[in-house]
Amino acid sequence: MNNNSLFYNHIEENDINRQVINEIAKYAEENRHQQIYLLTAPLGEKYHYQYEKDVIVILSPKHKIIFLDLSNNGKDFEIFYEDFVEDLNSISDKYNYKEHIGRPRDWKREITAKEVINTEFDVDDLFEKHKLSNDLQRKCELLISLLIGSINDIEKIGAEVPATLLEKVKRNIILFDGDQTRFIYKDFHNKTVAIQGLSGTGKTELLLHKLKELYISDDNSKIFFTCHNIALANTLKERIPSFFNFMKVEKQIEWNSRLWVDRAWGTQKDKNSGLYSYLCHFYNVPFLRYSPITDYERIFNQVFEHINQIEEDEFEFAFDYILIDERQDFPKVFFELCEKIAREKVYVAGDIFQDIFENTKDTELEVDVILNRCYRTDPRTLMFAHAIGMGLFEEKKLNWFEDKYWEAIGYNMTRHKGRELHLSREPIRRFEDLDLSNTQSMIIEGQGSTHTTHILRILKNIQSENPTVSPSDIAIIILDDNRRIYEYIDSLCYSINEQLGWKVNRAYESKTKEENSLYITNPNNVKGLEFPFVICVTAYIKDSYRYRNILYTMLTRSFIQSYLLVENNHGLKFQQEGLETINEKRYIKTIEPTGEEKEEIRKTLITLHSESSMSYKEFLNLIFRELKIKTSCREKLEKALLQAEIEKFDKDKTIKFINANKEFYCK
Amino acid sequence: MKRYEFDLSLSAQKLFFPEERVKTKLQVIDILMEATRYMLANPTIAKTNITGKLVLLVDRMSRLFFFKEGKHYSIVFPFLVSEIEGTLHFSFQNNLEVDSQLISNTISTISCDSFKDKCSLDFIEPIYDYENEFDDNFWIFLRELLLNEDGYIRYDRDEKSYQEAKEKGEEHKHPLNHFDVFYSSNATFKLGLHSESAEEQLIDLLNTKTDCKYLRE
Repeated sequence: MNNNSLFYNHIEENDINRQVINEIAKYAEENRHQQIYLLTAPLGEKYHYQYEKDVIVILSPKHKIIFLDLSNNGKDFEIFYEDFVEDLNSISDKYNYKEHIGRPRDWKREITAKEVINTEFDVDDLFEKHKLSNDLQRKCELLISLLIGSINDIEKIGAEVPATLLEKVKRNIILFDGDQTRFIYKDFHNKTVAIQGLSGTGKTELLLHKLKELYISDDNSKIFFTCHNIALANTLKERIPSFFNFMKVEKQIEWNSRLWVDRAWGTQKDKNSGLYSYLCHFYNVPFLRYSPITDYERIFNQVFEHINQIEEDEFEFAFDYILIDERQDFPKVFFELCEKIAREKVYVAGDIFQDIFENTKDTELEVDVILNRCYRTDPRTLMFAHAIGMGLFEEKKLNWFEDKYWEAIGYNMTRHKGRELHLSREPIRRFEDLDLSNTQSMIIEGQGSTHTTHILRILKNIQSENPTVSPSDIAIIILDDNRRIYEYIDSLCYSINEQLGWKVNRAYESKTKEENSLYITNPNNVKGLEFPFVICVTAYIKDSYRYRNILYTMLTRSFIQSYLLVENNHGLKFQQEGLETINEKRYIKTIEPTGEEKEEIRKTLITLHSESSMSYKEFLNLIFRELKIKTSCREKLEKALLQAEIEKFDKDKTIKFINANKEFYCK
Repeated sequence: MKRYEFDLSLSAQKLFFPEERVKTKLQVIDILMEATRYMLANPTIAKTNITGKLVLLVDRMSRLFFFKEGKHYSIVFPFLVSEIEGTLHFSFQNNLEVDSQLISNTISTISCDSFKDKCSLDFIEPIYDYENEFDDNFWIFLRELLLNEDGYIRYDRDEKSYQEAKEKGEEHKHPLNHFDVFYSSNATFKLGLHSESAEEQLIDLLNTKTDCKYLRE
């Protein structure tokens, strides 16, 4: 497998094309920033041509679409070329691109090139010769997007070159990279195909494309698309009809007879409300409700055991295909079960790095496709979020990875004197053409910045710099979790209503995204969402793992700018300095922990994970037991703790509070 | 009797005067919660933006009044009111503070899908979660809100519907000025008024300490 994620070859090799493909692959290896696709027919479409094995079509943004004739057979090649262009035109028509990019006579001459292979063939020269001028690049990129099935909403993005930053980012043409294209079009041998990536690498989008491919390829297939989170399941269910519509799927969606989209659990009454509900119904297994002792592990084991008792000749597959998002939220037995009950294939997508403190299992890296290019977040923001999350700018690091894992999440490392280490990321296509050097993608502000008046100032600023901004382009996320934040949010909401006239959506109440309203929430309702601008507000940078992980995840929700507004300046200096280095030098500068320190980190994380599945009540009870607090006064202390502003699960502070107050509560 | 007044801007007014008229108890609870939250935050509204008013009358029986041009209505305010150093505090049965967090929990519970679900256990789940996470009294609070008689009455001056009714010769089925008593379609009825009702008239009508009004044919 070629490990360059920007190169994708869809051509079956033969004696005629092998050498040229190898040469182009070599070129791609040496030019790792250049996106290149090789094909002989549009991907994901029905077209095939007679002359296919004698030709290579090379797609690379900023270059003409190059048709290479390998056998020097002018007439057949010409027919191939004309047919290909004609078909490309019909795809362009199908997705309404034609109105924006015109007919082939408008682009054929300027954007395509025909070449015959000869002894002096040189890939460098070829690309050099067919470079496109700036004004033609966008049109060419749109044609490429059609050929690889990475269809964009042309009405939204248009063929015109956008002017402002917000418009550029919003109207950016999305092109699947090599890894993404591989996932959608390549035939994998194994029954379960796993894709793993950082959040923001477009996994869910890919699953939707896969779903579309599966849905249209077989009229009789039964497909279940599932995930853990209810909100995500609802969003998917809403998105699929418009996505299918948009992808010009002519077949009607037959809900709950051919296609199911819902969470993994479901309810007892409605067999279609979740995968487990359906399986209980299908295999006649008693339904269990969620409880502290009934979890995924238990229910899927139960179904699995049940199915294993069915005689082989009586066994029926529940589905043909199962697609799973949020792999990280499910136990192993779930995937085994899915593999058992799906006739054809199971596609699984997961976050490699959902939790920056998760034990890094090697098995996680053993997947079919790893996506490490984050298309959502600006690399500077991503680097900062990783660094602040794991405490890389601080003396005491909260987490550290082996080199292999750093690489898997997209980092290049260079070691310097005194254990100094630089971690950098490759620039990504999404921002490649934008001059962002003058725009700060990540902004930290200290004391005073969390005042309502200051936040309003930031909002007004965003508005004046981006006149087309809509309230729904912005999210405000309050990172803390205590009673006070609700009051704070209320007063903020009223001020935004009053002074900007914007609608505000308190997402922790509505649990949905509303049109034309600013999204404001605690960290619980942000999963899977992204915004051009994100403003994170917090009292101070806390040291707990839970908090740091939240901080990391929330900062990466933006695709233009993230603000981090901190009320208390304590410890902020290191973060600010770290950010300055990222902005100036484009790398994270950190000191690698010693072997001893790494061992210490590992131990702490192991204890942490054994505690992480606890509810808050269990957590408190454990402490009460440790401190020998009588059962009779635990309830009172519990109430007092809720009133006090102590972060939940902060063990040290909780113990301190109990010790300081127990004499008043325990008689 | 104590009286507190709060100015409403257009955005707040939209919360309390939804486009579709109130038809269910859940909407009334939602309005009660939004109003309580509004009074706690007591936002400052620029004079030019004021388009309505919220009045809280505190007595043995407390009530909330919502006013905008041509429409007034009132519901019972079931919480205890105390004023500490110029700030209002609300509590439920004297042992549960009705604060922003409780309000958010309540709104989110009554607006979430599982509340409307077919299965009773789905309904319980979020309530049970909140009890565990925040306060053991949450269910008692929610139950009282659901069982509470909200005493909804609305004054309406609706020119358009009146004219429509008049064209059909049915103006007495939809008098220009009228009270709507109750809100659900099974219970609601109109009481016609001979003239426009001023804000204070509604307050006076519902004030148990002042003389009663009489209906005249």
